[in-house]
Amino acid sequence: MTLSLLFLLIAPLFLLSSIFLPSHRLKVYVRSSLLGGMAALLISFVDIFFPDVQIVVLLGQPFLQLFFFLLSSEQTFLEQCRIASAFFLLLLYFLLYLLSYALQKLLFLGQNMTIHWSGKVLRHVGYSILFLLFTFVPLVLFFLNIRILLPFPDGIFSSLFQFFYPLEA
Amino acid sequence: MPYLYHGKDIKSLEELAFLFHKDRSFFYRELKDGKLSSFLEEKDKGKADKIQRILPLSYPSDVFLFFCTYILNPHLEFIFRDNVYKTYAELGEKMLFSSPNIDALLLPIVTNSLLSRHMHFTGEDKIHPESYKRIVEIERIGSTDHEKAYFLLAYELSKKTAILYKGVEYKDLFNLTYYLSKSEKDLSDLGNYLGSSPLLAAYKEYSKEGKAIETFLHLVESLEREERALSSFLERRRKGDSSLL
Amino acid sequence: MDARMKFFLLSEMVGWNVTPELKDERERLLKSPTYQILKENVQEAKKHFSGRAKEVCRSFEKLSIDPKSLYQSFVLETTLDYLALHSFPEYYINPFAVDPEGDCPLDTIGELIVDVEGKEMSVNEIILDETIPTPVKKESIERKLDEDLRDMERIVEDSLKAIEKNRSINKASSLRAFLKVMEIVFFILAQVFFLVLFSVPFEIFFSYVTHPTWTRVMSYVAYGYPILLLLYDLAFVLFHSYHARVREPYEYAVRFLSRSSESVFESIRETKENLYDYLLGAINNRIELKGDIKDFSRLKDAYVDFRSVLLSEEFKKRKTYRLLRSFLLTLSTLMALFFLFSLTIYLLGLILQVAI
Repeated sequence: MTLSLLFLLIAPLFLLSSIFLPSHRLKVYVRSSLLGGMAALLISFVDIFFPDVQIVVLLGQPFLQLFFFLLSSEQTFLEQCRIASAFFLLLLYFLLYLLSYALQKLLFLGQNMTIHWSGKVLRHVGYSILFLLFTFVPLVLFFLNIRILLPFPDGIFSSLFQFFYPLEA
Repeated sequence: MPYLYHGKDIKSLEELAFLFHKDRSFFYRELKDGKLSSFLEEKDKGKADKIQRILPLSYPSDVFLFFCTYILNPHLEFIFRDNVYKTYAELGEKMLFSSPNIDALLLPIVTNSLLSRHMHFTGEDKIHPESYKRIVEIERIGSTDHEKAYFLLAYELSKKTAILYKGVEYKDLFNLTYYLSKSEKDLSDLGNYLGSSPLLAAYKEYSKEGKAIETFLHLVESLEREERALSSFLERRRKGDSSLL
Repeated sequence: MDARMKFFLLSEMVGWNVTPELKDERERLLKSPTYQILKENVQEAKKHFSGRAKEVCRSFEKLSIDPKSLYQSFVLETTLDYLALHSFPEYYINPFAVDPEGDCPLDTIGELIVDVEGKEMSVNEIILDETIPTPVKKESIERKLDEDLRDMERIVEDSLKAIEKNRSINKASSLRAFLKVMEIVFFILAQVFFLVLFSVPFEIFFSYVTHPTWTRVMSYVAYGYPILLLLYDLAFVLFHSYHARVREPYEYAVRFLSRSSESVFESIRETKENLYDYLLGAINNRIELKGDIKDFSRLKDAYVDFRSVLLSEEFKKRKTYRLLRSFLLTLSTLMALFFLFSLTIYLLGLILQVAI
């Protein structure tokens, strides 16, 4: 088992969901995961392209004590902050997801999906892409951030993973 | 001046009126050709004018003579064609005699409302207003269903409660159906006749089996109506009516 | 009906025993062309939602072809003739309640039957007739449309009642709600446990991940759990996606109707006025109608799919649904058992710091 293989095995689950879920449900999930997903993507973007900001340290340092059971003395400070920030983001993601989902349950109505119009399929494809962007991608980023903990080697996408989050040898 | 008929002097209008039914075609021609007009005017100008007024109307000859008879003598028994009926019951029985068929010679009595006119001429409408009302009601039915009205009138006048069928009187339908089941060969034709029989439709109002007859007629009528509706619809569908297919 | 039976009916009504004539009645009625037509037409009528279609089907179900007297036989045969006639789509199709996506046995509103002063005619016949006065035509058409409108409003009301009924069933069934929550909780727990298994530093366990020893139970946990979890996740995703997909029209209808049912009624009334104007135009200009049977349907309109509300439980009979549900139930059970097993092994190993 490698991390690459794990991602390849998990990806179809998200893909099948995005294909088979009805448009309304998909829209609700996309909207629910919007805040959390964007937060994860933004933070990753800043972390990769603006390393001087040290955003993982800013986010992870306050929660080092909370996730102490995951950390070890063999890890560097940066690595520990990365792990803590990843788990913090995971919790934040789920919290924002639940909040947004609850709001939509109250307010969301939607349109009659039995009305046929030519843009329906295109719109569904668009929402599927967004669904994958705000769910699968943050999940991948999460695993990449904590892969130092995982007993799996990187696998075939190792060089890509190294681009995102280089692991010291 | 008297009127001479077969060598006999007729001095009064009443006497003349009674003669009409004995030689109908002769007196019809006499009246229509105006040969009686001077005699009538001499005796009673009012009555002569009344006859003049109905002359141009297209009544059948028997009906015309009927009216002339009672214009001239309103106190006579009911006379129609060459028959004198001492009572209305006698007329009713005569009408029933041909049952289940209608006596075509007596049918004009119904279709021209002659009985109510006779009652009016003779003053019976004032003496027996309820009977008069009933007769008028039956004659009104006659405008849409003269066969039923014929038998209604026959039973109303004769006061019979038995059913007459081909000259035989049966106490009730129970007896009639027994007899028919033994004697009639074609029960299909009989069934069809009875299902829409004006005789039964009229008889039900005078019989103690009225409710049973009404139920029977209603069932048959309903079934025939639905059968007709369905077969008519199927026929239109089969023909590929463009408005249906 | 054999005309002889009319004679026997009269005999029966006046007191005769005509039982021998009854012996073949049941069979005659069952084999009659009328009954065969009715039986066939009812199969099509069952697919439609109009009140008249439902009435025909209901009456057919209630029929008991076993006359004990000629009176009953006559009544039965009259009923069969009546039902057979009204089982044709020309009589029961409601233009507001035609399924716009299904097959309709009629092509045009012009084929529908209307009562015009006691005479039954199709709409096209009324339009083309030159003897009926226009006010009479208009009055007959309007009366028919009012009946159809009331029928459509009944369908909406039935949908609202179906929703209310479902709501109260769901509220009342706390066990059902509990099981639903437990299913989601377990799903989350299973994922979290996977995360725990492979992120919490437990070297003994990790050694079996990289170097499995098949004599040790932990190896089976290390490999078996992810595989089973993947299959379980797949079953979960497939079933719930499919369930959501087939249920969505109903869920949408519930959301919509609970908020704005009044606008649905208004919209239907408006459609009735539009249809009336359309037919009036055809009458005034003597234009025969064609190909418009679905044009005024409100069954799956912009607001709500009434069909799905009224058939909300039908999807559970579908083969795909049953297959996916069985797949999920099997894997859920296996997953639950293996989860408990894996949790026990892992905790024991973690607490005792031994390889199991």
